[in-house]
Amino acid sequence: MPSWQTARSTADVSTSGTAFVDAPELTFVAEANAVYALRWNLPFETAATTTGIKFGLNGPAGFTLLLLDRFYMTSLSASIGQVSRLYNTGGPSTQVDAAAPSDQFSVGAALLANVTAGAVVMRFGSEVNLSLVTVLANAILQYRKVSA
Amino acid sequence: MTFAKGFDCASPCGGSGGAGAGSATVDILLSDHWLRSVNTFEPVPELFIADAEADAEYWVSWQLAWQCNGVSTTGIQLRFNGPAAPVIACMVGRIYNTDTGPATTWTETNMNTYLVVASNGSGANQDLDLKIEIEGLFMNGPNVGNFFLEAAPITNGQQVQIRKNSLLTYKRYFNA
Repeated sequence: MPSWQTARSTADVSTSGTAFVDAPELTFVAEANAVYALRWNLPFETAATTTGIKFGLNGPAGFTLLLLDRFYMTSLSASIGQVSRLYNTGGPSTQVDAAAPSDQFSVGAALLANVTAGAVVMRFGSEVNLSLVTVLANAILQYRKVSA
Repeated sequence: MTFAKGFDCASPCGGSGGAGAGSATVDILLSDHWLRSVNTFEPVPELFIADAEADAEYWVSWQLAWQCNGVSTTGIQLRFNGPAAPVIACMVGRIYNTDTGPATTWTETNMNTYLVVASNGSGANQDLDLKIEIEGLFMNGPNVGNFFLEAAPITNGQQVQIRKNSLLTYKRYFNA
């Protein structure tokens, strides 16, 4: 039974745009016709409390099941969760508890029934155009092949 | 949502933390969509711990894709069931009924019973996959038997589905 594999980032990555961009170190190559369980722990910062962040996945076309959810804290006592069924989708967190340099945090998990081999990568973007968001080093994406 | 994975380790994982050896992590994928339109509970097939050992403790996790079909207000209800006289049956979970919530979140902390029901009512996204995540501990009592997740629609006659490739993961990590 395969154990969890970990992709861990060594450098901060940032964007000021609302479009999804890659977190290039948070990636793995999925085999064709395999089912994967994924989970992630992502520390991040944003430029303002009114600037949220969004996380998504990109990967090879042709999956039969992609279902991911993310969990964002919007204050110290409130949170929102979001579900996606497609790559490069998912709304932003709408706000954060404190702006940079205060670290914020998001977790999530996904099921992926893959058809075509290829790279799967975590992606992120800003809620507000021209407002910086940064995924901090030491972010973790874990993945495990559940069945071939 | 993810939870603490304190009992994860590369398989096989044994020796530490208890008198008995641990076991390998077990993954089970639902091989086809499971449909139910009757509002009485029935075990979700395949996604259960078969023959849970007496006095053994299990870390258990379900990642489920579910749908309501035909009626957007159809909700799903869940229950755990297993051998009589469990020692611990503590679960936490989250049921999404839309892509952005609200999600029903519950903590099932009753000992010695399976009776608590977690349910999600109106507002589900019709015919689209939504997510259910459950994680918890199950410590069996003296009786060997299957430990199930049971499901049913809230409203009789309205169909809910658990979708193909929904996942159960469990690991027996301790024997008393």
